[in-house]
Amino acid sequence: MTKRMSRRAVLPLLLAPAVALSACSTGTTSDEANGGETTIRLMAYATGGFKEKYIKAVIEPFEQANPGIKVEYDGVVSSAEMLGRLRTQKSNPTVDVSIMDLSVAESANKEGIFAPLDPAKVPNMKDLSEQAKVRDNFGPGVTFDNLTLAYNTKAVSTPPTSWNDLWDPAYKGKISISAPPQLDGIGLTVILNKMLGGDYTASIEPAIKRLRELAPSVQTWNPQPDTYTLVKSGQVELALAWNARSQLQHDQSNGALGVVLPKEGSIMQVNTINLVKGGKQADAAQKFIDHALSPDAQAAFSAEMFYAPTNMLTKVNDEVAQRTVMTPEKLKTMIAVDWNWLAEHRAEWTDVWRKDVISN
Amino acid sequence: MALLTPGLLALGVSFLVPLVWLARMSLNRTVGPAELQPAVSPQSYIDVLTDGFMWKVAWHTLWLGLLVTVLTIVVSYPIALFLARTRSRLRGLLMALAIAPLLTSSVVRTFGWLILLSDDGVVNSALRTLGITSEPLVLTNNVTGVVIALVEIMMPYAILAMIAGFGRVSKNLEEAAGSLGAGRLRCFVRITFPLSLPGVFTGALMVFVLTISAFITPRLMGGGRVFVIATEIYDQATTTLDWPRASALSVLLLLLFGVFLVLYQRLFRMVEGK
Amino acid sequence: MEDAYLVLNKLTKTYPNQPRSAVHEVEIDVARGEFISLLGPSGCGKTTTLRMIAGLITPTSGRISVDGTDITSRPVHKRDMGLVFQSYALFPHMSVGQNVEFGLEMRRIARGERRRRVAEALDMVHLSHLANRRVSQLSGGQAQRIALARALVIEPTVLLLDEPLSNLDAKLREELRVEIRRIQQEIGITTVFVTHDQDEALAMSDRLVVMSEGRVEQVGEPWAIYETPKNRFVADFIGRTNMFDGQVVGRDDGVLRVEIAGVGTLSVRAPEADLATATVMVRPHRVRIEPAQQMANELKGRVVQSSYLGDVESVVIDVNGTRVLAERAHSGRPLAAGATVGLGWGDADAYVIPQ
Repeated sequence: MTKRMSRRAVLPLLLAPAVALSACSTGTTSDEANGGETTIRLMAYATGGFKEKYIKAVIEPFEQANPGIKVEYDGVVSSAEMLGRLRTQKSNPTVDVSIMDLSVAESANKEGIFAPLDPAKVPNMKDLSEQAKVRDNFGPGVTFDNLTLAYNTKAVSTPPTSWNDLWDPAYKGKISISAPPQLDGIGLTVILNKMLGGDYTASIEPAIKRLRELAPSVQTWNPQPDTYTLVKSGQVELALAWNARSQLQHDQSNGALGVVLPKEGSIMQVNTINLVKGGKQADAAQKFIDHALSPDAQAAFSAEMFYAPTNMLTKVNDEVAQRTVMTPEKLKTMIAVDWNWLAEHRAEWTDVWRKDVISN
Repeated sequence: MALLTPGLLALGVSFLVPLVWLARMSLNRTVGPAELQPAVSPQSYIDVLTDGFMWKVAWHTLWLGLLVTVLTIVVSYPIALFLARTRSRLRGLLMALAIAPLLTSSVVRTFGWLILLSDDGVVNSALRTLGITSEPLVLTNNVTGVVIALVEIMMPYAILAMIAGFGRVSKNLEEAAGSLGAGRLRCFVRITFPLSLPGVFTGALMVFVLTISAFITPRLMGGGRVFVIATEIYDQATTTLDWPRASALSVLLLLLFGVFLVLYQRLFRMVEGK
Repeated sequence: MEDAYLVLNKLTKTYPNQPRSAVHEVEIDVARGEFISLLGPSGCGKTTTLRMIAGLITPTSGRISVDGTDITSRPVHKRDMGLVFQSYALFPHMSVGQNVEFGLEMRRIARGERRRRVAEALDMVHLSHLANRRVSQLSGGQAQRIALARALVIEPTVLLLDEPLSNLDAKLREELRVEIRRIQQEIGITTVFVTHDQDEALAMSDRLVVMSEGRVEQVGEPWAIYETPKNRFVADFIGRTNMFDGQVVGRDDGVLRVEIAGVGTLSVRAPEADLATATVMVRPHRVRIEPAQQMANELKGRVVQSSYLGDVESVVIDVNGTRVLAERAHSGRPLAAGATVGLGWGDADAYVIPQ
């Protein structure tokens, strides 16, 4: 699951636990009856403005350039739910391409849900940054995002500059942090551990100890309906947040929500674009993937949504560069993260948080 | 039997199939981060049952279930009794009012409580204005808020179930007890209350089962601090992506329901005296 | 009444938004040990009256007193009245014995005495062997006997019976009728009995109170109500009857002569004088068919319908367009419809309804 996972849309389905699981197995219906024209189906995020912006910045230009191919956007609330749906249609997939979080995609790669790309058909792959490349030509990174601090500009006179500002007593009871298993909390653990001089693959005890001191100040470990709403309304004043959505919310709220990339740096989150194994339109699908990875499409989407591009040849204007991690000095502060390693230790970290931080 | 067939079929498809799927899924294995591997393995059950934190969560769930059940029944009982006995022409209207909240989803109602109980919400404002508190009480993002919201959400169910179970409460019996010398209190203790017990048990079972499977309210109101089995299942199913473990938890929760159903039936028979 | 024990004084119950009172200025005096029945069609106010006596309904105005003490505002549980319902109202979660014991427990009577009195009460209704039964295992007749024992075990001042026999079948009803009356007379308890069944009322009561539309129409002993009803309602409600409206055309030595259109002039013994019009009542069993001797009133008519009831034959006869009911005993073969028959009755067989 990624940051864009909003629980709202799935909540009504989940009154009983049994329903929760069976809901995951709801397959999408296939509609292949499309005479003459090729239709590919893209499964990606439904929430946070992602869908509208992606259609506008990436899909529409693609369809104009390729009149024979139509792209249908199938919006799903989270990477986890995407994986759930793809699992149920593994033998007869109705989806051709999927954009989802790197660590979830890795499970899908291993389960044989996704197929490797053909580098000849996706030439833009060679221009991707190292962090975007995935083993064995599996679906590469298509967007970069990073953790930030979001704050309420009315309540906070001096904007925060450091992750340490979370411990400022002025924010007591006014802090929101999405705890693990959300990636937000996992990422914060990595950042703190790094700040305290530790290696997260060895021990996270330093970060946990520090977080334990923060716990009494935290109003919610599970912001509802989401972090951004709470910050904008002033219900919380300082929050762990993701850059892209924060930037978008900043614009949409006329500046009520402020975004800061703390000076100690941050971690990057990667969404990958993947080819579904067994899809009937593999060629058209790879054509679309190549387009999605092209500098033009990357630049257009970054300008709309403030995700950093993964194609190193992408040219963005200064404003976009300032508001993403595109600048070289910012990129330098990013902490290297092995998301596959983290995915394996996610449950473990979640337990530690619950026992030693939240229940504290 | 022939008439029952479509119904049984529908029940089978809509209920039994997901259940079998669930049971099968619980025997698969998760490898690495979240890779699902087909298997027939009790590993998920072993993992769940040997996890100390899961036992804590289970205990928490039961405790929350019992607390919410007791509070809901206590608050709903007088309303249900009144509605069951009144001969007022307004009965229909009052009944509709009592169960009207069922028309809105519990998500909406939980968000309503989130606003009412927040630091600047109606409840805290009122307490401040009345001079009862100076600092706002923390009523959301903790178990207090979850309990308050759950009790309100469960009340219509409790009221409906209790009214349905109050069939033996009758005005005539109370009048008979009165004529034999029982005042209001003794009439209630000796006649009305014992006769209303089947309704109380039905209501309590309903509330308890709904509460321990409640997912939305603990999730939305708990501030990430309230861990119950249902939220755990949700996390496992949709975030950690450990479907076998989520399924194993669901199966165990179902078994728990079963145990309570059996206990309930025993108790019910005892009360009914059969 | 001098030795009145239970006195209802101008007892009235009015409900809001109802045009007429449910009970209007009801005055009844019940003697100690008397068995009095409230009789009337449904909605006449008899049950409301009983419930006011029991304390289950608060009167709008008027007084109720027992043995000279005003109890109008005394709550039901302090009234010491035994109450038996049509629905038995036995407590389903208690055994038969516990049901009977309940009133004694409420009175905080010692366990030993409770046991003894419960045994006595059960013995009185001949159901001692059912003490440990569950209520759901009782037949209707048994249930109502237990309800009676439960009401009587507290030694109430007054026993109130609200249509106690209406849920029972005919044979059982008759049996229990006798039993209730026997027990009532044995212990000499003042009893008010509500019923819509006139046979029950006539058979069991010392006196009857006939009610209609919230008012008392007539109070009296059963025979007096039957033979000398005070008005058309009572005459019509109690038993079957023939009524003829006509002009008084003469009076001679206590015998009134009344001209009935289409029928002729009837003679009837009536003490009252100075009537211009009169309603003459003749009970069907007083009408002789083909009388053997000369009678004061003699008519001819045609048989419209004859119903053979075994012990009697009930005949409808058309006399010049007026229907006359008659009954004859030992009838043998019933009369054929269409046959012309002679009818007759004496002047003392008829009665002039006062109002």
